[in-house]
Amino acid sequence: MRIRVLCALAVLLVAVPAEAADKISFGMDWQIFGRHAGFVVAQEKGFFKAEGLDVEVVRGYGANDAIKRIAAGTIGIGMGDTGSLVIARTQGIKVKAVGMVYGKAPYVLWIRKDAGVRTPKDLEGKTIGSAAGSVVRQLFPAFAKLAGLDATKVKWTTIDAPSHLPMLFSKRVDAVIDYYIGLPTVTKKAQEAGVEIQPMLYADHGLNIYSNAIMVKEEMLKEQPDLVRKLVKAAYQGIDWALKNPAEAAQIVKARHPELDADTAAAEIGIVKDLVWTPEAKQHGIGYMDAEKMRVTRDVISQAYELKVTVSPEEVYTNSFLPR
Amino acid sequence: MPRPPRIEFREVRKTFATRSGEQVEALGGVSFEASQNEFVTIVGASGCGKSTLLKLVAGVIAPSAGEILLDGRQVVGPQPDLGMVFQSPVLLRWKNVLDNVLFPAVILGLDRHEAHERALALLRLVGLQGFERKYPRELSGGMQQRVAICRALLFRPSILLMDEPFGALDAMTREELSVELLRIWQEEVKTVLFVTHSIPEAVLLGHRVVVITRRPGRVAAVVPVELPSPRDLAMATRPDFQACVAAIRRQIDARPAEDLP
Amino acid sequence: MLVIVWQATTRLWDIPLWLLPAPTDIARAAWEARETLLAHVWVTLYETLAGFAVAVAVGVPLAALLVSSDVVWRALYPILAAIQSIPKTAIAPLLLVWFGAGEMPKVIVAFLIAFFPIVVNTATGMVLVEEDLLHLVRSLSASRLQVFWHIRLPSALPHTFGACKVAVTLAVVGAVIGEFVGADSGLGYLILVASSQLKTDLAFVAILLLAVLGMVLFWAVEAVERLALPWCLPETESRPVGL
Repeated sequence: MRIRVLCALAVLLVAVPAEAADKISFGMDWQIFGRHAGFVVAQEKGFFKAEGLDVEVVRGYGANDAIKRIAAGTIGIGMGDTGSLVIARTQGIKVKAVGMVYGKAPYVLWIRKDAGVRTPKDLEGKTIGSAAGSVVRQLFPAFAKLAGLDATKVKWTTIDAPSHLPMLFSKRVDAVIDYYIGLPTVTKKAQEAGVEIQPMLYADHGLNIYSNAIMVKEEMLKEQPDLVRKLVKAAYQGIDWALKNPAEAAQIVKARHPELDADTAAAEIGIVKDLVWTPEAKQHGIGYMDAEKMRVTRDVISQAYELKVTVSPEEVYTNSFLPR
Repeated sequence: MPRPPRIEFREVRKTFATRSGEQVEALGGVSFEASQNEFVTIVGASGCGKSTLLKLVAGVIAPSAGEILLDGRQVVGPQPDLGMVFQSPVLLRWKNVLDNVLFPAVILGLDRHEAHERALALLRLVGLQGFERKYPRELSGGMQQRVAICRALLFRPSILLMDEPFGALDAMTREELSVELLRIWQEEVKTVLFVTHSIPEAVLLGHRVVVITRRPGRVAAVVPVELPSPRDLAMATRPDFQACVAAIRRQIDARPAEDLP
Repeated sequence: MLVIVWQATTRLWDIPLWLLPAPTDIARAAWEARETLLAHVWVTLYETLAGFAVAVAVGVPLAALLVSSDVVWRALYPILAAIQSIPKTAIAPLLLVWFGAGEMPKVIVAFLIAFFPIVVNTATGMVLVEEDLLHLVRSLSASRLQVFWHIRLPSALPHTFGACKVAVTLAVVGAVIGEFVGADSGLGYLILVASSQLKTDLAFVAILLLAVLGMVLFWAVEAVERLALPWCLPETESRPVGL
């Protein structure tokens, strides 16, 4: 009897995460903020519906966790981190990026001005707070190498996301990691706390790799190519509209998530615009992923994580499903 | 100057407040006496306040009206020189038999060596030698009650208060322990107030039987028991025994004047 | 038996490593990480034991205080219930900012979760004394202190131990909650880091070790109980009141 129950449980574990056939969950990388306006707009303004799709934009629990959920079928499509995808592929997770969103690495350190850090080298001996397994933290060695500092001389304190700013402002840590898109929020909170913050972008010191991208399960590309195309098309329609109409897009997101501040949301959309419209996007269309940059991404990640398996860039992405 | 009685109740009343707030008059004016070394049994229907009488003597509760006097002095709080045995043995589960008997010595700060010797002697007296290291849960109800009696006698109190001590035991054990109690009393003669709801038991054990009416309890009668000492179980068949029992029963069954329609 | 079924299921259904690792994968991950694992176990163990110890040291006297008078009971009990009702996951981030990311916040969370059952059950045990026994000791003119020390306290011990068995496993939970919010070591921290790197097998190692830790502590309390309370019948005496 117990064996039967256990077998049933094991089967459930694999089967249950699969979604209902018609409704598709589009998973974000984190809680929904202004920066996700593009996707929310695509849902609220009926772009998905126009393609005959019933899509719900849902929150996520981490840019690398999103990849797991896509692979497990918990969400049909989502936004995950490209670097994490490279790692995931070495573990046999068959997920692929079909469109770039944050084409410029938004990884940033918010540093307290009174911590006395003027150049990256000054980070040696300081304490940085980050969540466990954060991409920004994991890429720190790569950044350190490029910026010319000894990564081993930096201390790390692992704290959960809501604690980042309180720990920074209360001087328990000298810096915290984040995506640059969080600038409007950090500026506001720092002002309220009376603390001066300075940003240090990895991208400014040579670490310019791909970050968040729209991703799906690889087998979906084979089995439901049209569905993927439609999803991607509607998503970018939403993103494009949001980037062109930040104030209204912010209102649309706020209508769904009243706790958000409209001005902060609109400011975030402004920063996202800068990340989406990379030179290659301007040239080849929104969401386009450049082969060389993808190779660099693969190299940086492989080194930073000391990956034992080589992943070819082609495994990681495809431009074939982008809207023409 | 005549000696005052050992224990005296003078028009003692006791009213309790129940949880719902009503006032219940348990005792409605009780008066009787007990002399030195007398074995007095108190009998009456359930709930007529018999147990309350003992607690009043012990000074753990106070009367609402009237006085209780020990040797002519009013009882206003816990009294020394007084042993108590209840219907439930209330032994300490976490101590063995010997330590349970010695418990009063700990509380009262008595000489440990002397108390130890006395405890062993008492246990021998009640037939529990060899059981010193056992825990209460390993003993039968009757054996536990015997330990409780030893505990009550440890510090040689001159008054023993017993509240239906054999009430929770089966008939055979009851008889056994009644006989044993008589034997103990012979060895350690003292004043005893023994509450019971069994009339035969009251007659068998007591010199005098105080009959308490239904609530509010009053003394219906004090019946002297003219049986020879030492008592034994065989006396229960004697006609004077049975007559006594019958007389007492009539007293209990008789309705107080107020009850009649 | 369970292990065999688990192993078979993951192989038969070809369940990917990062979703549900097989026992062999978990064993391998444990072996590979063996040098650092002990340190993590020790950290969580320390946080748990410290929080639990404080819970006992505070809980028992607090229970004694609670039963000492009606006024105290009415004043204190609601406060205790309120503290218990506050989700510790809400307090943990605050503790992190106040005390930093060392062991202190975890010890405090462990303490906060663990002390309530100890207080409630000990207080219950102290009050659950037969009335006749109280009459008896009062007739011997026992002082309040004597009544407490000789009667109420021993009476409460089985209840306290029962609560301690619950409390010690709760303390483990508390320590892990604290680690999830901010830590650099410990089994909870390990779970976070491992799962974020999709090293689910290592995460499972940490989870299983936590389970083992909880079990070992539970048995330890039971062992102490058997030594301290030889007179106790486990089935009837030490069942905890009101989780």
